[in-house]
Amino acid sequence: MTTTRIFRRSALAALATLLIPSLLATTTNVQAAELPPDIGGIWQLTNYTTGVRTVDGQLPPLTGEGKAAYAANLAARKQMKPREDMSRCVPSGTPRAMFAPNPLMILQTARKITLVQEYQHQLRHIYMDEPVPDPDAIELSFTGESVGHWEGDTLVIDTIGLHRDTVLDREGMPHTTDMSIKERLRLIEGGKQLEAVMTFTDPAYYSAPWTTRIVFDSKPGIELTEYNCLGRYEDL
Amino acid sequence: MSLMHYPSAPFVRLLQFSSIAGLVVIPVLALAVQEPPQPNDPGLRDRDVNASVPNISGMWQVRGYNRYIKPEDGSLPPWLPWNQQAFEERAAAEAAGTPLYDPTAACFPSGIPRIIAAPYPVEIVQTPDEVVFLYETQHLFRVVHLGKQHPAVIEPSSMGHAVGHWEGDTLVVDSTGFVDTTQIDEQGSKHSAQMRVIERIRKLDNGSLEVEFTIDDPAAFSKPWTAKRVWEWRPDVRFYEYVCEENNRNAPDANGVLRNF
Repeated sequence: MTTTRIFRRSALAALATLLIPSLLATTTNVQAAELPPDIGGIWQLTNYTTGVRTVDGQLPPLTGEGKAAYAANLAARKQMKPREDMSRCVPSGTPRAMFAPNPLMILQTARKITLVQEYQHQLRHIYMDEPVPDPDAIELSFTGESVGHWEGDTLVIDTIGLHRDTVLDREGMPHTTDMSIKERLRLIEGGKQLEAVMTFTDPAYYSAPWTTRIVFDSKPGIELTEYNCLGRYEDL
Repeated sequence: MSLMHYPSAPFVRLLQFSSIAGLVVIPVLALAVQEPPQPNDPGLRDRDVNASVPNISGMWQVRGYNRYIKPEDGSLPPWLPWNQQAFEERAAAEAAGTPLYDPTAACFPSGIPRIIAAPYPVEIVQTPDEVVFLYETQHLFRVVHLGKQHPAVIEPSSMGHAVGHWEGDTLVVDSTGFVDTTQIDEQGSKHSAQMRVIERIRKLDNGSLEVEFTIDDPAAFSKPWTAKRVWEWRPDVRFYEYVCEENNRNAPDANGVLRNF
Protein backbone atom coordinates (compact mmCIF):
# COMPACT_ATOMS: atom_id res chain seq x y z
CA MET A 1 0.00 0.00 0.00
CA THR A 2 1.43 3.31 -1.01
CA THR A 3 1.80 6.27 1.27
CA THR A 4 -0.56 8.13 -1.02
CA ARG A 5 -3.24 5.56 -0.52
CA ILE A 6 -2.81 5.45 3.23
CA PHE A 7 -3.13 9.21 3.25
CA ARG A 8 -6.19 9.02 1.06
CA ARG A 9 -7.85 6.51 3.38
CA SER A 10 -7.02 8.60 6.43
CA ALA A 11 -8.48 11.63 4.74
CA LEU A 12 -11.60 9.66 3.90
CA ALA A 13 -11.99 8.44 7.43
CA ALA A 14 -11.62 11.95 8.76
CA LEU A 15 -14.16 13.26 6.29
CA ALA A 16 -16.58 10.46 7.14
CA THR A 17 -16.22 11.15 10.83
CA LEU A 18 -17.12 14.74 10.20
CA LEU A 19 -20.07 13.92 7.96
CA ILE A 20 -21.72 10.96 9.66
CA PRO A 21 -23.13 12.70 12.73
CA SER A 22 -24.67 15.51 10.70
CA LEU A 23 -26.08 13.05 8.22
CA LEU A 24 -27.59 10.91 10.93
CA ALA A 25 -29.17 13.97 12.44
CA THR A 26 -30.69 15.28 9.24
CA THR A 27 -31.39 12.37 6.93
CA THR A 28 -33.25 9.82 8.99
CA ASN A 29 -36.32 10.25 6.82
CA VAL A 30 -34.56 11.23 3.64
CA GLN A 31 -32.24 8.26 3.56
CA ALA A 32 -34.71 5.85 1.97
CA ALA A 33 -35.16 8.26 -0.91
CA GLU A 34 -31.40 8.51 -1.39
CA LEU A 35 -30.96 4.77 -1.83
CA PRO A 36 -31.34 3.52 -5.38
CA PRO A 37 -34.28 1.20 -6.07
CA ASP A 38 -33.78 -2.48 -5.30
CA ILE A 39 -33.81 -4.40 -8.58
CA GLY A 40 -32.27 -7.53 -7.05
CA GLY A 41 -34.12 -10.81 -7.50
CA ILE A 42 -35.39 -13.12 -10.20
CA TRP A 43 -36.78 -11.73 -13.46
CA GLN A 44 -38.09 -13.25 -16.65
CA LEU A 45 -38.55 -11.67 -20.07
CA THR A 46 -42.17 -11.01 -21.10
CA ASN A 47 -41.59 -10.18 -24.76
CA TYR A 48 -39.27 -12.81 -26.18
CA THR A 49 -38.48 -12.38 -29.83
CA THR A 50 -35.99 -13.95 -32.20
CA GLY A 51 -35.56 -10.66 -34.04
CA VAL A 52 -34.89 -7.45 -32.17
CA ARG A 53 -36.68 -4.36 -33.52
CA THR A 54 -36.76 -0.68 -32.65
CA VAL A 55 -39.25 0.66 -30.10
CA ASP A 56 -41.46 1.53 -33.11
CA GLY A 57 -41.38 -2.08 -34.30
CA GLN A 58 -39.16 -1.23 -37.25
CA LEU A 59 -36.05 -2.88 -38.58
CA PRO A 60 -33.02 -1.02 -37.17
CA PRO A 61 -31.57 1.66 -39.51
CA LEU A 62 -28.95 -0.52 -41.17
CA THR A 63 -26.35 1.08 -43.39
CA GLY A 64 -25.41 -0.58 -46.67
CA GLU A 65 -22.60 -2.39 -44.91
CA GLY A 66 -24.93 -3.36 -42.07
CA LYS A 67 -27.55 -4.67 -44.51
CA ALA A 68 -24.96 -6.85 -46.20
CA ALA A 69 -23.80 -8.28 -42.87
CA TYR A 70 -27.40 -8.92 -41.78
CA ALA A 71 -28.28 -10.59 -45.10
CA ALA A 72 -25.22 -12.81 -44.80
CA ASN A 73 -26.21 -13.81 -41.26
CA LEU A 74 -29.79 -14.57 -42.34
CA ALA A 75 -28.54 -16.66 -45.26
CA ALA A 76 -26.09 -18.55 -43.06
CA ARG A 77 -28.89 -19.27 -40.65
CA LYS A 78 -31.04 -20.73 -43.41
CA GLN A 79 -28.20 -23.09 -44.19
CA MET A 80 -27.98 -23.99 -40.49
CA LYS A 81 -24.53 -22.40 -40.36
CA PRO A 82 -25.07 -19.24 -38.33
CA ARG A 83 -21.99 -17.09 -37.97
CA GLU A 84 -21.99 -17.20 -34.21
CA ASP A 85 -22.39 -20.99 -34.30
CA MET A 86 -24.21 -21.46 -31.05
CA SER A 87 -24.06 -25.20 -31.54
CA ARG A 88 -20.56 -24.95 -30.07
CA CYS A 89 -22.15 -23.59 -26.88
CA VAL A 90 -20.13 -20.40 -26.84
CA PRO A 91 -21.91 -17.68 -24.84
CA SER A 92 -24.54 -15.69 -26.69
CA GLY A 93 -22.98 -12.68 -25.00
CA THR A 94 -24.17 -9.12 -24.60
CA PRO A 95 -26.78 -7.95 -25.46
CA ARG A 96 -28.26 -11.18 -26.79
CA ALA A 97 -28.34 -12.86 -23.38
CA MET A 98 -30.73 -10.11 -22.27
CA PHE A 99 -33.22 -11.36 -24.88
CA ALA A 100 -33.19 -14.95 -23.58
CA PRO A 101 -36.51 -16.32 -22.33
CA ASN A 102 -34.92 -18.04 -19.31
CA PRO A 103 -34.97 -16.50 -15.83
CA LEU A 104 -32.40 -13.87 -14.92
CA MET A 105 -31.10 -13.27 -11.40
CA ILE A 106 -29.90 -9.77 -10.52
CA LEU A 107 -27.48 -9.39 -7.63
CA GLN A 108 -27.37 -5.76 -6.55
CA THR A 109 -24.66 -4.35 -4.33
CA ALA A 110 -23.31 -0.83 -4.00
CA ARG A 111 -20.07 -1.72 -5.79
CA LYS A 112 -21.30 -4.03 -8.49
CA ILE A 113 -24.42 -5.37 -10.13
CA THR A 114 -24.23 -8.90 -11.48
CA LEU A 115 -26.63 -10.29 -14.03
CA VAL A 116 -26.78 -14.07 -13.60
CA GLN A 117 -28.44 -15.51 -16.67
CA GLU A 118 -29.74 -19.08 -16.44
CA TYR A 119 -29.33 -19.38 -20.22
CA GLN A 120 -25.81 -20.74 -20.74
CA HIS A 121 -25.00 -19.69 -17.16
CA GLN A 122 -23.76 -16.34 -18.41
CA LEU A 123 -22.44 -13.86 -15.87
CA ARG A 124 -22.37 -10.15 -16.58
CA HIS A 125 -20.37 -8.00 -14.17
CA ILE A 126 -21.37 -4.33 -14.04
CA TYR A 127 -18.96 -2.24 -11.98
CA MET A 128 -20.66 0.73 -10.40
CA ASP A 129 -19.62 4.37 -10.56
CA GLU A 130 -16.61 3.92 -12.79
CA PRO A 131 -15.81 5.52 -16.13
CA VAL A 132 -16.23 3.54 -19.34
CA PRO A 133 -12.83 1.91 -19.86
CA ASP A 134 -10.44 2.95 -22.60
CA PRO A 135 -11.39 0.75 -25.60
CA ASP A 136 -7.71 0.30 -26.41
CA ALA A 137 -6.95 -1.00 -22.92
CA ILE A 138 -9.43 -3.87 -22.85
CA GLU A 139 -9.68 -7.22 -24.55
CA LEU A 140 -12.77 -7.87 -26.63
CA SER A 141 -15.10 -10.48 -25.15
CA PHE A 142 -18.50 -12.09 -25.49
CA THR A 143 -19.80 -10.28 -22.43
CA GLY A 144 -18.12 -6.92 -23.01
CA GLU A 145 -17.03 -4.45 -20.37
CA SER A 146 -19.89 -2.84 -18.47
CA VAL A 147 -20.04 0.01 -15.98
CA GLY A 148 -23.15 1.36 -14.31
CA HIS A 149 -24.50 4.24 -12.30
CA TRP A 150 -27.83 5.35 -10.94
CA GLU A 151 -29.65 8.34 -12.40
CA GLY A 152 -32.52 8.72 -9.96
CA ASP A 153 -34.61 5.56 -10.23
CA THR A 154 -32.79 4.35 -13.33
CA LEU A 155 -29.75 2.11 -13.58
CA VAL A 156 -27.70 3.27 -16.55
CA ILE A 157 -25.27 0.69 -17.97
CA ASP A 158 -22.62 1.47 -20.58
CA THR A 159 -21.06 -1.43 -22.43
CA ILE A 160 -18.24 -1.68 -24.98
CA GLY A 161 -15.69 -4.27 -26.00
CA LEU A 162 -17.84 -6.86 -27.80
CA HIS A 163 -15.96 -9.03 -30.23
CA ARG A 164 -17.06 -9.98 -33.72
CA ASP A 165 -18.40 -13.42 -32.85
CA THR A 166 -21.62 -12.21 -31.26
CA VAL A 167 -24.82 -10.94 -32.81
CA LEU A 168 -27.70 -9.01 -31.27
CA ASP A 169 -30.42 -11.61 -31.65
CA ARG A 170 -31.22 -15.10 -32.79
CA GLU A 171 -31.77 -14.00 -36.39
CA GLY A 172 -28.33 -12.45 -36.58
CA MET A 173 -28.70 -8.66 -36.29
CA PRO A 174 -25.05 -7.70 -36.69
CA HIS A 175 -22.66 -5.37 -34.93
CA THR A 176 -19.04 -4.33 -35.27
CA THR A 177 -16.49 -4.33 -32.47
CA ASP A 178 -17.05 -0.57 -32.18
CA MET A 179 -20.64 -0.94 -30.98
CA SER A 180 -21.52 0.69 -27.69
CA ILE A 181 -24.68 -0.06 -25.74
CA LYS A 182 -26.46 2.17 -23.27
CA GLU A 183 -29.07 0.38 -21.19
CA ARG A 184 -31.54 2.11 -18.90
CA LEU A 185 -33.16 -0.23 -16.38
CA ARG A 186 -35.95 0.80 -14.04
CA LEU A 187 -38.78 -0.72 -12.08
CA ILE A 188 -42.27 -0.18 -13.48
CA GLU A 189 -45.75 -1.34 -12.49
CA GLY A 190 -45.00 -0.80 -8.84
CA GLY A 191 -41.94 -3.02 -8.97
CA LYS A 192 -43.69 -6.00 -10.55
CA GLN A 193 -41.82 -5.39 -13.78
CA LEU A 194 -38.37 -4.28 -14.85
CA GLU A 195 -38.00 -2.26 -18.02
CA ALA A 196 -34.77 -2.20 -20.03
CA VAL A 197 -34.46 0.45 -22.73
CA MET A 198 -31.39 -0.35 -24.79
CA THR A 199 -29.72 2.00 -27.27
CA PHE A 200 -27.17 0.72 -29.77
CA THR A 201 -24.58 2.95 -31.37
CA ASP A 202 -22.53 1.46 -34.19
CA PRO A 203 -21.98 3.94 -37.06
CA ALA A 204 -20.54 1.43 -39.53
CA TYR A 205 -23.63 -0.77 -39.44
CA TYR A 206 -26.37 1.65 -38.32
CA SER A 207 -26.97 5.12 -39.74
CA ALA A 208 -28.19 6.38 -36.34
CA PRO A 209 -28.32 5.12 -32.78
CA TRP A 210 -31.45 3.05 -32.30
CA THR A 211 -33.40 1.87 -29.31
CA THR A 212 -35.33 -1.20 -28.30
CA ARG A 213 -37.31 -1.95 -25.14
CA ILE A 214 -37.77 -5.18 -23.24
CA VAL A 215 -39.75 -5.88 -20.09
CA PHE A 216 -39.19 -8.49 -17.40
CA ASP A 217 -41.70 -9.85 -14.88
CA SER A 218 -40.68 -10.26 -11.26
CA LYS A 219 -40.59 -13.97 -10.48
CA PRO A 220 -39.94 -14.31 -6.77
CA GLY A 221 -39.60 -17.88 -5.63
CA ILE A 222 -38.25 -19.25 -8.91
CA GLU A 223 -34.89 -20.99 -8.64
CA LEU A 224 -32.42 -20.85 -11.50
CA THR A 225 -31.61 -24.29 -12.84
CA GLU A 226 -28.41 -25.62 -14.36
CA TYR A 227 -28.45 -24.89 -18.07
CA ASN A 228 -26.73 -27.65 -19.98
CA CYS A 229 -26.00 -26.63 -23.54
CA LEU A 230 -23.65 -29.50 -24.26
CA GLY A 231 -26.08 -32.38 -23.99
CA ARG A 232 -28.05 -34.43 -21.61
CA TYR A 233 -25.89 -35.89 -18.88
CA GLU A 234 -27.51 -39.29 -19.26
CA ASP A 235 -26.39 -39.35 -22.90
CA LEU A 236 -22.72 -39.23 -21.94
CA MET B 1 -8.61 -12.99 -13.93
CA SER B 2 -7.30 -9.55 -14.54
CA LEU B 3 -5.34 -7.52 -12.06
CA MET B 4 -6.90 -4.15 -11.57
CA HIS B 5 -5.11 -0.99 -12.38
CA TYR B 6 -5.77 1.67 -9.85
CA PRO B 7 -5.47 5.35 -10.54
CA SER B 8 -2.43 7.01 -9.05
CA ALA B 9 -4.23 10.32 -9.28
CA PRO B 10 -5.47 11.88 -6.04
CA PHE B 11 -8.79 11.05 -4.53
CA VAL B 12 -11.47 11.15 -7.22
CA ARG B 13 -13.70 8.19 -6.49
CA LEU B 14 -17.04 7.83 -4.86
CA LEU B 15 -17.10 8.17 -1.15
CA GLN B 16 -18.84 5.22 0.36
CA PHE B 17 -19.41 4.51 3.99
CA SER B 18 -22.01 2.86 6.12
CA SER B 19 -23.95 4.32 8.98
CA ILE B 20 -25.60 2.34 11.71
CA ALA B 21 -28.94 2.89 9.99
CA GLY B 22 -27.92 1.55 6.59
CA LEU B 23 -25.80 2.31 3.60
CA VAL B 24 -25.38 5.87 2.42
CA VAL B 25 -23.65 6.61 -0.84
CA ILE B 26 -22.50 10.10 -1.62
CA PRO B 27 -21.14 10.86 -5.08
CA VAL B 28 -18.05 13.01 -4.94
CA LEU B 29 -16.31 14.66 -7.88
CA ALA B 30 -15.54 12.68 -11.01
CA LEU B 31 -15.48 8.93 -11.43
CA ALA B 32 -12.45 6.66 -11.37
CA VAL B 33 -11.89 2.94 -11.05
CA GLN B 34 -12.92 1.79 -7.61
CA GLU B 35 -10.30 1.14 -5.01
CA PRO B 36 -10.13 -2.47 -3.83
CA PRO B 37 -12.72 -3.12 -1.13
CA GLN B 38 -11.73 -3.57 2.47
CA PRO B 39 -12.83 -6.79 4.18
CA ASN B 40 -16.43 -6.66 5.42
CA ASP B 41 -17.31 -3.82 3.09
CA PRO B 42 -21.13 -3.73 3.14
CA GLY B 43 -20.96 -2.58 -0.49
CA LEU B 44 -19.96 -6.13 -1.46
CA ARG B 45 -23.31 -7.64 -0.59
CA ASP B 46 -27.00 -6.85 -0.89
CA ARG B 47 -27.83 -3.92 1.39
CA ASP B 48 -30.76 -5.85 2.93
CA VAL B 49 -28.56 -8.54 4.48
CA ASN B 50 -28.80 -8.23 8.25
CA ALA B 51 -25.65 -6.56 9.56
CA SER B 52 -25.27 -9.31 12.16
CA VAL B 53 -24.70 -11.94 9.43
CA PRO B 54 -20.97 -12.58 8.87
CA ASN B 55 -19.79 -10.81 5.72
CA ILE B 56 -18.04 -13.32 3.45
CA SER B 57 -18.89 -11.42 0.25
CA GLY B 58 -16.15 -10.45 -2.16
CA MET B 59 -13.48 -12.05 -4.31
CA TRP B 60 -11.60 -15.15 -3.16
CA GLN B 61 -9.12 -17.56 -4.68
CA VAL B 62 -7.97 -20.93 -3.43
CA ARG B 63 -4.59 -20.95 -1.70
CA GLY B 64 -2.23 -23.25 -3.58
CA TYR B 65 -3.20 -25.40 -6.51
CA ASN B 66 -3.68 -28.98 -5.46
CA ARG B 67 -5.60 -31.12 -7.91
CA TYR B 68 -5.94 -33.98 -5.46
CA ILE B 69 -8.74 -33.81 -2.90
CA LYS B 70 -7.86 -36.08 0.01
CA PRO B 71 -8.95 -36.46 3.63
CA GLU B 72 -7.56 -33.81 5.96
CA ASP B 73 -5.58 -36.40 7.95
CA GLY B 74 -3.51 -37.21 4.85
CA SER B 75 -5.00 -40.66 4.33
CA LEU B 76 -6.34 -41.82 0.98
CA PRO B 77 -10.03 -41.34 0.19
CA PRO B 78 -11.98 -44.35 1.50
CA TRP B 79 -12.85 -45.56 -2.00
CA LEU B 80 -15.04 -48.57 -2.53
CA PRO B 81 -13.14 -51.12 -4.64
CA TRP B 82 -14.71 -50.07 -7.97
CA ASN B 83 -13.80 -46.44 -7.31
CA GLN B 84 -10.23 -47.25 -6.28
CA GLN B 85 -9.83 -49.35 -9.42
CA ALA B 86 -11.14 -46.49 -11.57
CA PHE B 87 -8.80 -44.05 -9.82
CA GLU B 88 -5.76 -46.27 -10.33
CA GLU B 89 -6.60 -46.89 -13.98
CA ARG B 90 -6.80 -43.15 -14.52
CA ALA B 91 -3.49 -42.54 -12.75
CA ALA B 92 -1.83 -45.28 -14.81
CA ALA B 93 -3.20 -43.87 -18.07
CA GLU B 94 -1.94 -40.40 -17.21
CA ALA B 95 1.49 -41.75 -16.25
CA ALA B 96 1.61 -43.53 -19.60
CA GLY B 97 0.91 -40.24 -21.42
CA THR B 98 -2.55 -41.38 -22.53
CA PRO B 99 -4.88 -39.59 -20.11
CA LEU B 100 -8.50 -40.70 -19.88
CA TYR B 101 -11.47 -38.50 -20.70
CA ASP B 102 -12.17 -35.71 -18.22
CA PRO B 103 -15.65 -34.14 -18.60
CA THR B 104 -14.26 -30.63 -18.10
CA ALA B 105 -12.09 -31.13 -21.18
CA ALA B 106 -15.39 -31.22 -23.08
CA CYS B 107 -16.46 -28.10 -21.16
CA PHE B 108 -18.90 -29.83 -18.82
CA PRO B 109 -19.13 -28.09 -15.43
CA SER B 110 -16.54 -29.06 -12.81
CA GLY B 111 -19.28 -29.69 -10.27
CA ILE B 112 -19.15 -29.94 -6.51
CA PRO B 113 -16.81 -30.54 -4.74
CA ARG B 114 -14.20 -30.23 -7.51
CA ILE B 115 -14.77 -26.52 -8.10
CA ILE B 116 -13.90 -25.78 -4.44
CA ALA B 117 -10.28 -26.56 -5.35
CA ALA B 118 -10.28 -24.84 -8.77
CA PRO B 119 -7.41 -22.33 -9.04
CA TYR B 120 -9.54 -19.44 -10.30
CA PRO B 121 -11.23 -16.51 -8.58
CA VAL B 122 -14.63 -17.00 -6.94
CA GLU B 123 -16.91 -14.17 -5.92
CA ILE B 124 -19.39 -14.57 -3.09
CA VAL B 125 -22.44 -12.30 -3.05
CA GLN B 126 -24.80 -12.51 -0.10
CA THR B 127 -28.45 -11.55 -0.34
CA PRO B 128 -31.02 -11.88 2.47
CA ASP B 129 -32.18 -15.23 1.07
CA GLU B 130 -29.15 -16.61 -0.72
CA VAL B 131 -25.40 -16.94 -0.77
CA VAL B 132 -24.40 -16.88 -4.42
CA PHE B 133 -21.05 -18.19 -5.67
CA LEU B 134 -19.84 -16.80 -9.00
CA TYR B 135 -16.94 -18.66 -10.55
CA GLU B 136 -14.51 -17.38 -13.15
CA THR B 137 -13.90 -20.92 -14.34
CA GLN B 138 -16.48 -21.91 -16.93
CA HIS B 139 -18.52 -18.84 -15.84
CA LEU B 140 -20.46 -21.12 -13.53
CA PHE B 141 -22.60 -20.04 -10.61
CA ARG B 142 -24.20 -21.68 -7.63
CA VAL B 143 -27.03 -20.45 -5.46
CA VAL B 144 -27.20 -21.56 -1.81
CA HIS B 145 -30.76 -21.08 -0.61
CA LEU B 146 -30.80 -19.97 3.01
CA GLY B 147 -33.37 -21.43 5.37
CA LYS B 148 -34.89 -23.67 2.71
CA GLN B 149 -35.29 -27.43 2.37
CA HIS B 150 -34.32 -29.43 -0.69
CA PRO B 151 -37.33 -30.05 -2.93
CA ALA B 152 -38.75 -33.58 -2.90
CA VAL B 153 -37.69 -34.08 -6.52
CA ILE B 154 -34.41 -32.61 -7.74
CA GLU B 155 -33.34 -32.52 -11.37
CA PRO B 156 -29.78 -33.87 -11.12
CA SER B 157 -27.02 -31.40 -12.00
CA SER B 158 -23.27 -30.95 -11.73
CA MET B 159 -23.47 -28.29 -9.04
CA GLY B 160 -26.36 -29.94 -7.20
CA HIS B 161 -29.10 -28.28 -5.19
CA ALA B 162 -27.77 -26.35 -2.22
CA VAL B 163 -29.46 -25.14 0.97
CA GLY B 164 -27.69 -23.44 3.83
CA HIS B 165 -27.88 -21.83 7.21
CA TRP B 166 -25.57 -19.99 9.58
CA GLU B 167 -24.26 -21.65 12.74
CA GLY B 168 -22.55 -18.77 14.48
CA ASP B 169 -19.73 -17.63 12.21
CA THR B 170 -20.02 -20.70 9.99
CA LEU B 171 -22.10 -21.07 6.84
CA VAL B 172 -23.26 -24.68 6.61
CA VAL B 173 -24.18 -25.75 3.07
CA ASP B 174 -25.94 -29.01 2.29
CA SER B 175 -25.82 -30.08 -1.38
CA THR B 176 -27.42 -33.04 -3.07
CA GLY B 177 -29.06 -33.91 -6.39
CA PHE B 178 -25.90 -34.54 -8.36
CA VAL B 179 -25.28 -36.28 -11.66
CA ASP B 180 -22.70 -39.08 -11.43
CA THR B 181 -20.63 -37.86 -14.39
CA THR B 182 -18.49 -35.27 -12.63
CA GLN B 183 -15.29 -36.10 -10.76
CA ILE B 184 -14.52 -35.46 -7.10
CA ASP B 185 -11.31 -33.78 -8.16
CA GLU B 186 -8.94 -33.24 -11.03
CA GLN B 187 -7.08 -36.38 -10.01
CA GLY B 188 -10.11 -38.48 -10.92
CA SER B 189 -11.96 -39.94 -7.93
CA LYS B 190 -15.52 -40.66 -8.93
CA HIS B 191 -18.78 -40.38 -7.04
CA SER B 192 -22.32 -41.61 -7.47
CA ALA B 193 -25.62 -39.79 -7.89
CA GLN B 194 -26.24 -40.47 -4.19
CA MET B 195 -23.48 -38.07 -3.13
CA ARG B 196 -24.25 -35.50 -0.50
CA VAL B 197 -21.73 -32.78 0.35
CA ILE B 198 -21.80 -30.76 3.55
CA GLU B 199 -19.63 -27.65 3.56
CA ARG B 200 -18.69 -25.60 6.58
CA ILE B 201 -17.45 -22.20 5.45
CA ARG B 202 -16.03 -19.61 7.81
CA LYS B 203 -13.57 -16.77 7.87
CA LEU B 204 -10.34 -17.67 9.64
CA ASP B 205 -9.49 -13.98 9.52
CA ASN B 206 -10.24 -11.16 7.13
CA GLY B 207 -7.71 -12.56 4.67
CA SER B 208 -8.82 -16.17 4.47
CA LEU B 209 -11.91 -18.30 4.23
CA GLU B 210 -11.88 -21.92 5.27
CA VAL B 211 -14.02 -24.33 3.24
CA GLU B 212 -14.25 -27.67 5.00
CA PHE B 213 -16.33 -30.21 3.12
CA THR B 214 -17.57 -33.68 3.96
CA ILE B 215 -18.38 -36.12 1.17
CA ASP B 216 -21.02 -38.68 2.03
CA ASP B 217 -21.59 -41.20 -0.75
CA PRO B 218 -22.18 -44.79 0.34
CA ALA B 219 -22.16 -46.00 -3.28
CA ALA B 220 -18.63 -44.69 -3.89
CA PHE B 221 -16.88 -44.51 -0.47
CA SER B 222 -16.90 -46.81 2.54
CA LYS B 223 -17.52 -43.90 4.92
CA PRO B 224 -18.01 -40.13 4.87
CA TRP B 225 -14.73 -38.22 4.68
CA THR B 226 -13.70 -34.61 5.09
CA ALA B 227 -11.31 -32.42 3.13
CA LYS B 228 -10.44 -28.75 3.30
CA ARG B 229 -9.35 -25.80 1.22
CA VAL B 230 -8.51 -22.26 2.27
CA TRP B 231 -9.50 -19.41 0.01
CA GLU B 232 -7.54 -16.17 0.13
CA TRP B 233 -9.09 -12.72 0.03
CA ARG B 234 -8.37 -11.27 -3.42
CA PRO B 235 -9.86 -7.78 -3.60
CA ASP B 236 -7.19 -6.95 -6.18
CA VAL B 237 -8.58 -9.17 -8.93
CA ARG B 238 -11.56 -8.96 -11.20
CA PHE B 239 -13.11 -11.61 -13.38
CA TYR B 240 -11.56 -12.30 -16.73
CA GLU B 241 -13.78 -13.92 -19.35
CA TYR B 242 -13.30 -17.69 -19.33
CA VAL B 243 -14.79 -19.47 -22.33
CA CYS B 244 -13.95 -23.16 -22.36
CA GLU B 245 -15.50 -23.66 -25.79
CA GLU B 246 -13.05 -21.11 -27.16
CA ASN B 247 -10.06 -22.89 -25.63
CA ASN B 248 -9.76 -20.61 -22.63
CA ARG B 249 -6.49 -18.70 -22.54
CA ASN B 250 -6.47 -17.82 -18.88
CA ALA B 251 -5.11 -21.11 -17.62
CA PRO B 252 -2.87 -21.12 -14.56
CA ASP B 253 0.74 -22.18 -14.99
CA ALA B 254 2.23 -25.30 -13.42
CA ASN B 255 2.46 -23.53 -10.08
CA GLY B 256 -1.16 -22.45 -10.17
CA VAL B 257 -0.27 -18.83 -10.82
CA LEU B 258 -2.75 -17.04 -13.04
CA ARG B 259 -1.54 -15.12 -16.02
CA ASN B 260 -2.21 -11.44 -15.97
CA PHE B 261 -3.70 -10.03 -19.16
